[in-house]
Amino acid sequence: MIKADNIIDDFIAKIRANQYFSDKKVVCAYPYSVKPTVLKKVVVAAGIKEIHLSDASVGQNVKAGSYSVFADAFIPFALSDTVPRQIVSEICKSVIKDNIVSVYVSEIKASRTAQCLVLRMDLTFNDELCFDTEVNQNEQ
Amino acid sequence: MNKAYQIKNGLKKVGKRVCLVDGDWQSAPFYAVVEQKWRSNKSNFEFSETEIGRVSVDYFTYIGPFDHDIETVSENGYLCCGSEKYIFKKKEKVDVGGTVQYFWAILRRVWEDEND
Repeated sequence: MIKADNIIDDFIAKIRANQYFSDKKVVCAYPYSVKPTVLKKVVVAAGIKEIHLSDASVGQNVKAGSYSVFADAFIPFALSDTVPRQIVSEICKSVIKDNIVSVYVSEIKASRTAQCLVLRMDLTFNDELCFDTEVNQNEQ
Repeated sequence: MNKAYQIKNGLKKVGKRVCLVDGDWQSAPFYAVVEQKWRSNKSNFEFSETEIGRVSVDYFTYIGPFDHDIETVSENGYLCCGSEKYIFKKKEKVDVGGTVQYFWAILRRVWEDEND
């Protein structure tokens, strides 16, 4: 079971724990800050893509199902040779122990706005989710 | 007086104090015009949002004196103007009769990551 409001924090923590990402930046998507004009290192932005839950147990308020997380890797043009496939491999390696059910990797695209290459990964997990409010109600 | 010197003197009156930086090398300060490029009906004044932060696409026109050759500045070089940095997107020398009169360029303002 994982807490719904920790999905992204947990996901980011697992990627950051991977030694490969020690010199790279891993952030929650859409931070309220200005992007550097020229990227010097790879930045990975993670966020929730979608959640599909349903009652998993008759008579009990247990929600389970799948949730998808996107991890967009922003890669400086100068690092375009082997870095993208390493990133895919290392992100998968970081979260493979969770109940991962599918991985989607997009083609690499050049972003004119961000002035770098963008590679999107969607990872879908299957698990039971708990919400803080739900836990509080059960405790009462 | 040579036209190139007249332009240089004019730039001292209307320009900003700038310098060129390329690696460890830094030029002596000089004066150049650095003006934002915008068109009231076509420029996007808002930041564009990307997953890794907001992007501001600010372009500037540069007009600098003949004796600071911006064409020799490498791709990693930039222009410093006070606390702001600009990279060169286009560079051109304007010569008349085989003599360089001034340099013209399009600059883009550089936003940097505080942690870099």
